[in-house]
Amino acid sequence: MNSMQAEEQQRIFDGWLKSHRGLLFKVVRAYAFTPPDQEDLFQEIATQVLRSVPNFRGESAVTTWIYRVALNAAIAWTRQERKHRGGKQSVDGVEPSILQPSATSDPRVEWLYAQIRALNEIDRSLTLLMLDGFSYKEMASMLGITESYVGVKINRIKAQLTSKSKEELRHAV
Amino acid sequence: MQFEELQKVWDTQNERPVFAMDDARLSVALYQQREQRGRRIFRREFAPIYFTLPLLIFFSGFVLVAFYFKTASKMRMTDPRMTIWDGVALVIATVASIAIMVFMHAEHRRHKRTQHVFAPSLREELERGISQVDFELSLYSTPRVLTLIALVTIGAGVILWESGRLNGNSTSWGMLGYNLVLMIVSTWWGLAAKNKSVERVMQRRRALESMLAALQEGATDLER
Repeated sequence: MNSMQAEEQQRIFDGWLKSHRGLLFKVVRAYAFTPPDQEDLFQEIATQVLRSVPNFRGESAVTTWIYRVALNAAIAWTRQERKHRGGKQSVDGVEPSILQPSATSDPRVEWLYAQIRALNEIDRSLTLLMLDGFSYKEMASMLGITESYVGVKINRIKAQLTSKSKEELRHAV
Repeated sequence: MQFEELQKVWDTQNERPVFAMDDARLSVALYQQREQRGRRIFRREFAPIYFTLPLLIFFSGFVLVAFYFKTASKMRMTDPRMTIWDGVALVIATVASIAIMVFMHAEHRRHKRTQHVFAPSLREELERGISQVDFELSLYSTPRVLTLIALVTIGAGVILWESGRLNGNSTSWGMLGYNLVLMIVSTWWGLAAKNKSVERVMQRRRALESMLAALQEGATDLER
C-alpha cells in the first residue's frame, strides 16, 4: 500500500473526509478556539490524515484510525502554537474563515466544548473519545497510556463535567 | 445534569453538524488564492522571458547595425566582413525573439481575460481555479519548456557568434561551446523544476476537483 498512487490516495481521503468530516470538526473545536485557528488546525489535520492513508492497513476501524491521526495532529499543533504564542491562542478572528459554526448550533453543545477546552490536551482527547463511545482499551492504545489510567481519568472527567453542569443549572435558575 | 444527559447533548452533533462550509467566504478565499497564483505565474513564468528577450533583441539589433557600419565604412580591414548570411542570421534572431514575446504576451492576455473577474458563484470560482491550474500545467509541458530553452539558446548563440565576428574572430567556437553547456544546464534545471511544479499544481487541481465534486453532490442531494 506504500506504493499507492497519489490519485488513489486522494480518492480514499476524499471518501474519508466525506464520511467522517464531523469527527474532524469535533477535534478542531476541542483544540482550537478562534475561527482562524480552527481553520489552520482543520487544514493541518486534513493534511496529516491524507498523509496517513498509505499507512492504513485496515487493522482498526477507519474512525479509530482517523481519530488517532487527528488527535495526534491536534496535540502536536497545540504544543507548537503554545510555543509560538507563549501559551495563548489568537483572539482576533479578523481573517475570513471558511469554516463557520452552524446557525443552528445548540448552546448546550457549545457549553460542552467550552468545558472540554478547559482541560489539558490528553484529557481533551480522552473526553472526545469517551463521548464518541470508544472503549477504554481503544483509548489506551490510541493515546499510549494504560487502561487503568484511562479508567481513573474518565471517572474524574465524568464527575467534573456532571458537577459543572449542575453548577451551571443552579446559576441558570 | 447527569452524565447520560450530557452524552445525549453531545450526540445531537451527529444529526446536525456544528460546522458548515461557508460558501461565500470559501469563494472569497479561493478568489484571493487565484489572484495570488496569477501574480506568481507571471513572476515565475513570464517575467524572466520578458526580461531576457528584449535584451536579446537589443543586442542582436546593436550587433547588426554595428557590423553593417563597420563593414560599410571599411574599418579594420583585417577583421571579417559582414556577409549576407550574418545579416540573415541576426534578422532571424531578432524576428524570432520578437515572435516569442508576442506569442507569450498573447497567450498570457488570453488567459488573463478569463481570470480577472470575480466569479459570481462558488462553482464558477472553482471552475476558474481549475482552468488557471490547467493553464499553469500547459506552461510546464515538456515541448513548450524545451522549445523555449532551445529558441533562447539559438538566439543567444547567433548573437555570440556574430559579436565574435564583429570583434574580429571569424569563428567563435569557444563561445558557442559555453552557450551549449548553458543550454544543457538550463534544460536539466528546467525539466527538474517543471516536474516539481507539475506535482505541486496537480495537488491543487485534485483539491479543487474534490471541492467541485462535493459541491455538485451537495446540489444533487438538495434536488432530491
